[in-house]
Order: sequence, then C-alpha cells, then structure tokens
Amino acid sequence: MNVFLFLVGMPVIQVLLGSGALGVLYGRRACKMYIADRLIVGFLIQIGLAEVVHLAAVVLGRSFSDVVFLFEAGMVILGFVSLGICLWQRRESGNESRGGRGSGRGRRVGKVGRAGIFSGSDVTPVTAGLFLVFALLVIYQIVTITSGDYIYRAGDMTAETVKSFLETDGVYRVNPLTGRAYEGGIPFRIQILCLPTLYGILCQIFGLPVTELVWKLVPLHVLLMSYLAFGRMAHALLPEEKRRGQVERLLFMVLTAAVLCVGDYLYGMDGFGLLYCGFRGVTIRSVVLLPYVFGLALRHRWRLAALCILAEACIVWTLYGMGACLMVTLGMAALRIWQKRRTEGFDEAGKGA
Amino acid sequence: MGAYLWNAWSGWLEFTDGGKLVVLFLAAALYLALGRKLRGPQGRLVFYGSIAAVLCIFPVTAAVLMKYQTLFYDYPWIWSYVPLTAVIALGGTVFLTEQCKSWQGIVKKTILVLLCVGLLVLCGGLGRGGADTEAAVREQDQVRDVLETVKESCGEEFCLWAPREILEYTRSLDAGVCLLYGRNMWDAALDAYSYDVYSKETGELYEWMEHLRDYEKETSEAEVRTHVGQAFAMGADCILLPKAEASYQGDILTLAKEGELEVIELEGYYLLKKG
Repeated sequence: MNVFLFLVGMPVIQVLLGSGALGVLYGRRACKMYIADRLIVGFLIQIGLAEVVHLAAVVLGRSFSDVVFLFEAGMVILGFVSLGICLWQRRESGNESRGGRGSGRGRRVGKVGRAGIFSGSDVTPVTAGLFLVFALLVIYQIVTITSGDYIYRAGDMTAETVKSFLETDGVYRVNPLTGRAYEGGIPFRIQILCLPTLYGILCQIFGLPVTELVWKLVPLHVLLMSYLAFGRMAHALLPEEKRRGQVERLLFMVLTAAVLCVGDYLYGMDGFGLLYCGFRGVTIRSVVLLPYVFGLALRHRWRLAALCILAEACIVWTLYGMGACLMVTLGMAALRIWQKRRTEGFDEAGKGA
Repeated sequence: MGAYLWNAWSGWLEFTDGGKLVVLFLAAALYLALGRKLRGPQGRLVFYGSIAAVLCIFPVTAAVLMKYQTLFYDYPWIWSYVPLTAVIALGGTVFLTEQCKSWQGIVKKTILVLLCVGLLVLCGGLGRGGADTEAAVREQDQVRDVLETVKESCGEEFCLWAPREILEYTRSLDAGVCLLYGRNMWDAALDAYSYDVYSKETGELYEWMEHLRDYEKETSEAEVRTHVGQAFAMGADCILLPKAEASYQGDILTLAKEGELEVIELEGYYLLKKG
C-alpha cells in the first residue's frame, strides 16, 4: 500500500509543484508545457526544498523530525501556491479564448495532459509494434531494478546514511559507516548534498523501509524521470510538424531504451547507473538532468536549464556549483549563437549576390 | 600533471575495454554529420556531442575536464558531458528511417532491423558488469538472520566486530548496531566521505579477522586472547568469529571455560561476549 502511495503520490505532487514553478517562470506561456516538463520541474523543486531543510539541519543543528516537518510544511505551502497559480492561469486562458483574442492559446491549453512522447496522430501497426518493443524493454528494466538483485554499492553509502539520520534523529551526528561519533569530521562538500535527507524524509512520509525506498523505489522513479527527459529531447530533435514525426520519436525512444539496456557494462555508463544505482546523485544527473538540459537547450528554455544547474549543485559535488549542466548549457548556447550568426551571414551573402 | 594525464589515458582505455558504445556513438555522429546538412536542433546536438567526445578522448583535455568535475569522481563521469545515448538513438532513428524508405519489402526491412539490433548488442555489454550478483542478495539475507540472533544475546544496541561479509550489510540493515570499522576499511572510495582514519590497531584487527578462514594459517590461543581482548578494549560488545575449519575452536572454548568469555555457537559463527 505504501509503495503504491509512493509511486502514485510522488508524480501527482510533482505535477502540482511543477505546474506552479512553470507558471512563475513562464507566466501564461506555461500552458504550452507538457506533463513531462511539469513532472521533472516538480522533481527539481522537491530537490530544492530538500536542500533548504537539509541546510537548516546542518547549519542550525535541527533534529531530523524537524526537517521532516519543515519539508512537509514547505510542500503543503508550495502545493497551495501552485494550485492557486494553476487555477489563475486556467481562468485567464479561459477568458482569453472566450474573448476571441487568444484562440491560439486555447488550442495550446488543449495540449496540456499529454506526456509529450507519444502525442500526435493515429495508431498504425508500426507505431503499435514500436510501442510494444519499447514497453518490453522498459518492463525488463523495471524487473531488473525492483528485483534488487543487482545493486551496485561500491563507493556509496546512501542507505547507511539515511538509516543513521533516522536512527539518531539528526543529520550527520554519527559516521554512517560505523555508527560512532566522527573523529576527524566530514568534508563540507558532502555535508551540503541533500539526497540522503530527501530519501529519509520520503521514508518517513510514506512509511517505507530505507533499503526498499533507496535501492528499489527511487531508481524506479528515476527511470520514469529519465524517459520523460529523453522524451522531451525526442520532441525537440524530431519536431511534430515533420511527417512521420510520431514514428521517428517512438523509434528514438525504443533505441534509447535499447542503448540503456545494453550500455550497462561499466560504472559511469547511463545504462549502468539507471539499472544498478539509480539512487545516486551522479546517476540522476546523467539520466535525468543532462538529457533534460539538452532538450531544454534545443528548445531555448534557458530558465529551466538554470533550475537544473541548481539541482545538480544540490545532489552532486561540483566545483562550487559549476557542474556538468552549466557546461552543457553554455556549450549549447554558444553553438546556438554561432549557428544563428552563420545563418545570418549566409542570408546577407545571398542578398549581396 | 603526469599523474592526471595517466589517469585520463588509463581511464579511456578502461572505458573502451568492456563495451564499444563509444565507437557506436562516433559512428552515429559521423553518419549524421556526413552527407547531410545538419541544421537546427539535430545539428547542434551532434556538433556539441562530437566536440565533447573529442575533449573526453584526448588526455590533456580529459584531464582538464576531470579537474573541472572535481577529482572526487572518476574518468567515466566526464562522459556525462557527451550525449552518448541520445546521439546513438538519433543516429539509429535517422539511419533506419532513411534505409527503410530505400529498402523495399518486409523481409529486407526485417533483416536491416535485425542487423542494427545485432550491432547494438555487440557494442554493448553482454553481461552485468560490476554490479552485485544474486549471491550478494543471499548474503544480505544471511546477515539479516545472523543479526537477529546476535540481537537476542546482545540487546538492541551494541558494538559489533565481525567478518567483512557481515559488516558489509550491517549498517544498511540496522543502524542501531555500531561497528569497530565500516565498509571503508576495504572500499577505499568511501574514505572520501569523512576525514576519519582508522588506527593501526584497527587495521590489524581487520587483517587478523579476514585471515581466520585461511587454511594455511594457524591461530594460537595467545593470538585469540590478544585480538579479542583488544577488540573489547576498543569498545566492541559482541564479536563474531567465523566457525568454518576453525583451528582456534579449542582456544575459544578454553577462554570460555576460564570465564573470560561467554561463547554462543551460531550457524557459521561463534558469538563472543565478555564473561
């Protein structure tokens, strides 16, 4: 029952939080965003909130029960704010379509609710076949993750850390590996990362055992986030206007799933992280944040890319926040500028001729 | 600097040793870039991916990237900057879409798809590289059972000294149990998570415990007395010693008779408590 609550509750909360955040960032244009965007942005907001309460515990020495309370309170407040923003946007959009000024806007509102990957036209034998293959590959991944037989724990102590947080009702009060007090202390770079706190909070909220949540359910959730991120990238790479766009996008997703399945041969590969250690910060960065950042950069959604950069700084040790997401964003932005100038140069040369 | 360069080069060799997805990535990027004017989003992704891949392959730039991502993480993680999965998937999508248009007939198309699947499987790993096996799960269950039994004798909270296979999962299964030393004793990567270092004596206790199953090594009564006494002095409340082919069985029983220890026989282990 608790597992079911987690699997259903998390996406619902994330959609709500994501809708609010997108409303704040993009105003009425947020209506154009897909559920995939809302889910991923909601996930980023949860990470941000977890970081705030985690720092409160580290800096102010608050107990873990306080941290859980603060997180829940923050979620409730943000949830209500998001709900308000969504209702306001819906009303505004409705007014505009009724007023006849924004018929286009009205059509866009109609898009909300699609997952963003399989949106589009009719089902054909090809699309059905591709979907079946995709589903089989995802089922294989789900079975691998939930079996719990292939967890890669080398160099990682997430489960021990979460357990010690819950046991001592505090953040880093004892060394998670021994349960004894720290003698030399803990590096600051580790102290500020919030994933163990987030997992501990989720264990408390949903009443789940630590190993169950960290080793099985979180990787499952990350799997979902990952496909949503790749789905958004597929959308950006293979636009809908193009004929056969739906088949191509599906094929892209099938191949993505296949590459993730066969690319599990080495620690550091996307597939390996997704299947065997989906709970680690570096895995979330590789299979959720970075694909999403690529998709955002291709769609020129730079404000959301900034959110990803911040989220990465909360879950992965980076060079003072200058992580992979920032590098990718800058690289893609530079390419965009270069491509634009080159096109303009061609146009001017054409006019001159 | 030499060490950085060596790390980058050996990292690249290791990275391409197990599977060849990098090769498939380069092939996909080349296919997408050559023969068609790549513009727009696809062009940007492929161009960016190619530049990032070149930076990751050359040792000098790879070393710079490793330094940028902080030395906390290993070489494979700099490949996070490269959209490996996305470019392979995009290359495959474009290739299959284009070829299926030119190859007429269902048989030919099926052969084409099967060839692509075969190529993908050959470039990937054909097994689960490095992840724990099912044996590890069985080990975890065994640890759970042993801990339950130990708790009956030692209470809910105690400090334990035990062989590696027990300590490996103890803290993730039960945070109420303290350990003389943790997983970082044999997994050096975990040392990065704290400034704590183990004393020489603790290291010796670990070495001794792990050698107890060594057939060729004889263990004397004095040795058992010294190490067990040392462990208790360092704060251990309960000690688990492996039972199998124990040459020191008599010594333990002698210590128990002398009243120094309380010995309980468990499945596969002796549980030792202060007498």
